[in-house]
Amino acid sequence: MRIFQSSTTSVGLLVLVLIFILLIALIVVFSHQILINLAGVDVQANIVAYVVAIAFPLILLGMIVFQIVRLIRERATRKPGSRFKSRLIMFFVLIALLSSIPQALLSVRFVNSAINFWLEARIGEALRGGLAISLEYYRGAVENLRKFNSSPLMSFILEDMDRNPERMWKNVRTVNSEVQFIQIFDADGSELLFRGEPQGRLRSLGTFDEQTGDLPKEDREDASILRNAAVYRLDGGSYTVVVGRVLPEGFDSQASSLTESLEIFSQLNRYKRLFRLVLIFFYFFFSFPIFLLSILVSFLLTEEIIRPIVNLEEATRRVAEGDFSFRILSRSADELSHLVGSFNRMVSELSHSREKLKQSEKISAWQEIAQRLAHEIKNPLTPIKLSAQRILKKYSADSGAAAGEFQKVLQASISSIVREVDNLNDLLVEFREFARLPMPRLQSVHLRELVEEVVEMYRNLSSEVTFDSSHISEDSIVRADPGHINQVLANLIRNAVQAMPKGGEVSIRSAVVNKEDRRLCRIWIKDTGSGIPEEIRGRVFEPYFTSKADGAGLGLAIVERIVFDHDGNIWFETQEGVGTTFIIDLPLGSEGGI
Amino acid sequence: MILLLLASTALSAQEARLDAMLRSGKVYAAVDYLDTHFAERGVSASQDVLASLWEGLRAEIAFQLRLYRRNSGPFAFLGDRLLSERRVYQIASFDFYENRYRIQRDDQTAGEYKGEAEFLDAFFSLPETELGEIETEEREDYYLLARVRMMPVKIIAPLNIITLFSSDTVFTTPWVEAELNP
Repeated sequence: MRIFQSSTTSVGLLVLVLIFILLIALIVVFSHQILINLAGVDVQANIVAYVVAIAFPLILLGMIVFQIVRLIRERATRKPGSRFKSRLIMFFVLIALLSSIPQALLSVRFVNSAINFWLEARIGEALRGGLAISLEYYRGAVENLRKFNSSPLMSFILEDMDRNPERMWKNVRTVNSEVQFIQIFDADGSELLFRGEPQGRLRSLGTFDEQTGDLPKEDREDASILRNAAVYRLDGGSYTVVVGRVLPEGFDSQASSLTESLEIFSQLNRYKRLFRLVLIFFYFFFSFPIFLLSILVSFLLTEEIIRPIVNLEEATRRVAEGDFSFRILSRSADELSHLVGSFNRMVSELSHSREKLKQSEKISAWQEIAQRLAHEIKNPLTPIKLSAQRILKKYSADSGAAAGEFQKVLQASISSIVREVDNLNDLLVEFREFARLPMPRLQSVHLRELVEEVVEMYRNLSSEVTFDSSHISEDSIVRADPGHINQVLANLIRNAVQAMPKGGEVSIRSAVVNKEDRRLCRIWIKDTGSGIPEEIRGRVFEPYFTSKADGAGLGLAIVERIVFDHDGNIWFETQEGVGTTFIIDLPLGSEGGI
Repeated sequence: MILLLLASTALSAQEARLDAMLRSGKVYAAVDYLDTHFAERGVSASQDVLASLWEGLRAEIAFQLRLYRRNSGPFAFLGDRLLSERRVYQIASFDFYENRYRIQRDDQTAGEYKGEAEFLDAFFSLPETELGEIETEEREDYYLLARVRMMPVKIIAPLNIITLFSSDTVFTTPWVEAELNP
């Protein structure tokens, strides 16, 4: 079994990074556009903004609650790593809090200071004072024109209007230097005279609703013009006299900006407390989702950090329980990945050693039994055989003439005893060979040559079985004892041939494979026989177990032992009615080692 | 935040009057914001507006008009169909130099008023405004909705955020409905 020490949380982290970028974008857009227009007439138009603003933190909060519930459940079920995970999350949250609290305090303080600074009473006084001065100046100018135009002196000055208009204009300027132009209309509204600043000239009096008194200020791009109109009756005629002045350049724009500044100041001052609260609210409104996001990231990061540790813990527990097939797969390339690799190698070596130990223990036990059995059987065999031979010899010598029926029976029986004793003796020799199998003398050998040698031998013995060894490459070199491997191949090929009494095919092929950091030569020996029945599959490598009538049951036990002695492995795949494939892994040899 | 938003809409009873007319197939509407006494503040809407203008602030009134066609038959549950909508803004200010009230409309027209009464009349009223054309015979299938949103102090951006949280910065009337008069 394998578990992945994978990085599925990386996807989650990527999603959170994207959410973070989205949040930043929202903050930028919100603060620059949406917030400014949020107070527009149509609340419904801003419904999307409201929904996003409310739903976003709620979604994040929901995800965090889900993670917390999951963590509580993990702790309740004592899931490996849950306590460590809790501590890590607490640690991350603490870091997030430690970094955000001073920032929040600083921001609130900054907002307060900024508002207090900009709304200092002196600034208000200065703005109002500026406006008062400006108004005083303006009203003074208007008053001056009004008084001058309604003064009796003006009637005298106007008497020169027809006779000497230049002198009249000179007198006006002498009496009131602030008057910059004069324009006189007759009763029909037609202009009779204009002197002074050309900017002040009116095309007609009809522009104004009220044609006497203070005329409305005329604002132009480059100037503002003040006028006062009065009606005079001279020499039986009625005249409208307009006097005026051009305000200094920039007066109007400066007065406007002063009014606007005062408006802003008054608003800020009026809603100071509320505005301060709103700013602080919006600070938390934007920073709270970021804080929630950081907590969510801490959950995923913790998961990422803890996963290999949990996997290792799980693997260690499984190995301790005897499951040596457990492996951890890691895609990352950090220190934890090296740790996982080392763990996997350790388990693999442990598993291999354990298998070898089991095999050695099994073989030793059977060797001991075999030796004792051979000794126990062999001891009485010799006297039995000698006694039988002696009886037969004595009987033949002493009663040579009295041969009869008894002689025949006795002779046949004793011959049978001797023959069976010989058979038993041969069996015991085989037992002893198994018990005394020597250690292999390893060298690099060409697998193809070994296979060809054995196949050639069996090809001559069986004409109904065909052999295919063409899939063994020339460069398949194994590190092995040639004699032992020859015995292995011979045993397996003989079994394959015997499994196909009506003929079939034995195919042998090899390939180089990588297995747990080892490079091995894998050999497949496949027959098309009847397959191994399911009930005996677990016993085929046991010594003295055989399904054949005349077998000693040591062939596959010897094969397994030889393969293990070569630091290899053997197993089989079988299907009844289809055939059996024995698979052997042997260490690779080298060309130079031959 | 929801509570704050609700607070901002909890206002004194405001009222508007809507007159809808149909002339030569064209729909016109005229709206008046009815001066209200704010019991909780001890002033009327008009006094509030004048006070803010004298303080150098500006006031804003927005008229929102909608022309609907009644939806009958199997799809009545979908609601009536909105045919046209208009929003008209008027911003009032006081010219300290000229001692006059000014009203600036969003169609770039402006008015100047010396007297308070004539200024308030102009400020709280939307003259006849065209909303669209319909078939005269189907007059009864149509109706108008209007509401007024009045700000005694036109709050400039970014201060206008506070209108979301304060109940005494914006006064909005409920929607009023009117049938089309010939």
